[in-house]
Amino acid sequence: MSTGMPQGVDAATFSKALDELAAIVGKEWVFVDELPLSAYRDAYSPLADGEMLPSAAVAPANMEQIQQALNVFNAYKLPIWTFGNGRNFAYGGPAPRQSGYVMFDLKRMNRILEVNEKYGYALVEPGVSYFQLHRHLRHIGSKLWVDPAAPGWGGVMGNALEHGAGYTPYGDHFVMQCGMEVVLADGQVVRTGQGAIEGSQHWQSTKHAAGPHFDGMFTQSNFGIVTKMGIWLMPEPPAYKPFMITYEREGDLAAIFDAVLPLKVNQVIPNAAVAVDLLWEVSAKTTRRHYFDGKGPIPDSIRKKIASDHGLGMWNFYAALYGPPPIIENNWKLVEEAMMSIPGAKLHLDRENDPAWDYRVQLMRGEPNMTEFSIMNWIGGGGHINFSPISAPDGKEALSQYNLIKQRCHDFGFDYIGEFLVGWRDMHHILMIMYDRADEGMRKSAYDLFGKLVDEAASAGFGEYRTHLAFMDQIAKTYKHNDGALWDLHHRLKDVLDPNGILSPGKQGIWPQAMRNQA
Amino acid sequence: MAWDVSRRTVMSGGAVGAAVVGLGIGRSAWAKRPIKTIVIEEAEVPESRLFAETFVNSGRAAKIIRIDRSLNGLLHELAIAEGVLVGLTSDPAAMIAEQILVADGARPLLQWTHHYRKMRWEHRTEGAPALLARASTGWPTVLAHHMQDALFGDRQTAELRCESGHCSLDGKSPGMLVSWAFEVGVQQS
Repeated sequence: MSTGMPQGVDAATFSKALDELAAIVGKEWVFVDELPLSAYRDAYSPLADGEMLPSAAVAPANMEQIQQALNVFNAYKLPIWTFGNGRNFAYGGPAPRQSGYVMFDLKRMNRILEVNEKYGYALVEPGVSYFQLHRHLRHIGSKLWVDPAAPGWGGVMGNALEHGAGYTPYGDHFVMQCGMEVVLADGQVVRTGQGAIEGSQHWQSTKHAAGPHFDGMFTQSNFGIVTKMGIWLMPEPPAYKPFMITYEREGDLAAIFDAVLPLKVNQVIPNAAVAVDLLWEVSAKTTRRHYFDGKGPIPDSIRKKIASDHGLGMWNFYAALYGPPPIIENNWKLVEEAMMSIPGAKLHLDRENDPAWDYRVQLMRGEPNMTEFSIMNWIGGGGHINFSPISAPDGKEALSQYNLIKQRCHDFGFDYIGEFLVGWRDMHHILMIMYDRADEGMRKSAYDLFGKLVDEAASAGFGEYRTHLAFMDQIAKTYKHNDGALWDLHHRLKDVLDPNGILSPGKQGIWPQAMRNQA
Repeated sequence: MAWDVSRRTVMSGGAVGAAVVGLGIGRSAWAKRPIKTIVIEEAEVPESRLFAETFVNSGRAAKIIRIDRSLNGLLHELAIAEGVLVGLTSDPAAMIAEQILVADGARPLLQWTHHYRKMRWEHRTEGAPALLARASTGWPTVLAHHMQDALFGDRQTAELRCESGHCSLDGKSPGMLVSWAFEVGVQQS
């Protein structure tokens, strides 16, 4: 298959389709040349060069252009890959699932349509970034916070649609999303929830409405193109108390989660608390080569030196309290009693000249930044993919996952670099597999390690909440209850809603009928 | 309207530098035009500071944009920059700059890498291997002069790799750096 053309489409036909698309969006918003298309690569791809490259990109400016373009895509059966604004690095970047797709780039649609100070929400288009929304809120004098993903250039809508997370009490972006406008493959426009009531003023205030709740169906899927989305915004609290507690031993992980679960479930700690391993935490401050220039995982003796040099633990627990000072004071006693009861725990309420502390404190108070990218200096060469199993926040389970995954990392010659993020009832375990992307051997090992982890995690009963493009099919197959009934349902919906199979084929392992056998 | 989709070169993906390969930007394209040079300095990186200082001292820098370790400045400052942007930065900063600049229509002019391994700096550049190899810890100064030659004077296009002698690594250095140049907002001839 040519990497330069959509599958099954010849050059003359493709050129004709591009003509029609240019007539809709303007020639300057149709891209076919190497340089502009390079913006849609996965800069950190674990795959060989030349995979997952688009054939062209089309950037509509509004809903009408989307509908007209969909007519063209349907007429020529051109597969498209929708892209809002964020980069989605570690999960495949903006790149399409297969080479030859046409990027449907919505970043021109970047209006903040409404900010409602009273009810605490914003209504945004796909191209709005966290930085943009944050600046807008400050510009209009709003007292609302955004909840940014770690890199602030991410898209507000895209991150929520991908079930991304932030670090304030509004950190579960999928939960904080409220109300969508969606264009279906045939061009029909649907508003979910109260948005379906003509003249509703409550579209972004409540998820409750008559009938099934459809919003989730348009997340991590390829059933429609979301063009507007409501997102709840946290009112600035009267006070804020961030803290970090360091723990000396790897085995403390179980005790950390046993201590934190009641604090989370009862909302004593309201934000997305996170236990960060030593190497992730220190990588914002130094690099591996300053300590160890050999191959394979860093020896324990050197890990201990790193911890000592930087005043860190094997686990470093971040969280924050929010609200009126008397409530913070009261809740702090509960936190201190529970979290400091683990032998060797050290409390930090401030840390000088520590970029990791600085950026996490910013994130927990809703200030977007880009600092987390600096951890890519750890190895050099910047490649990374995230393996992200999800489970309940149980101490024994966390430790069991950690031991399994760390061992596999070491088997493949990688350091374990990870964190556990705790929501209300869930635990996101993020393993960052870092590699020098110029080192082909290391890239391949990272790919092989990831594939092995998917199968082993599934055997142990864990599924991933989000994944890199290259592993979507493998992970879809791990959801195999009743002979894969859930993905069968996805496919039945896909065939009805998108019979030509034009919308993001293969997204999350959901393929249109015509491409299903090749997956 | 002709899209020429059957004849175009579709990029081969991979590392940041992929977009640079094959552009063939040489002296004749724009060296004779007076172009404003903006230098990106990553303030936490000692090699980046030395590189920027050399550009200033040689009278080539119309402006310095200093980026702190939050890297936020890359988003805020690059979007309004115009001219030739050059930098010797950490790899993440180079990646972010590339993403922003290419999306805004900038043209990559060059990209070289500098990697500290086993007590030596390994440079992958075009031209000047002997100078860089001999420079040891002062290599960012040599690099800045060499980049000025490449951008504004005679350019050698052969890809070269060289290693320095044994030298130490500054405690603040990430040890993997990228030197890069983009042209922003300048009409191509």
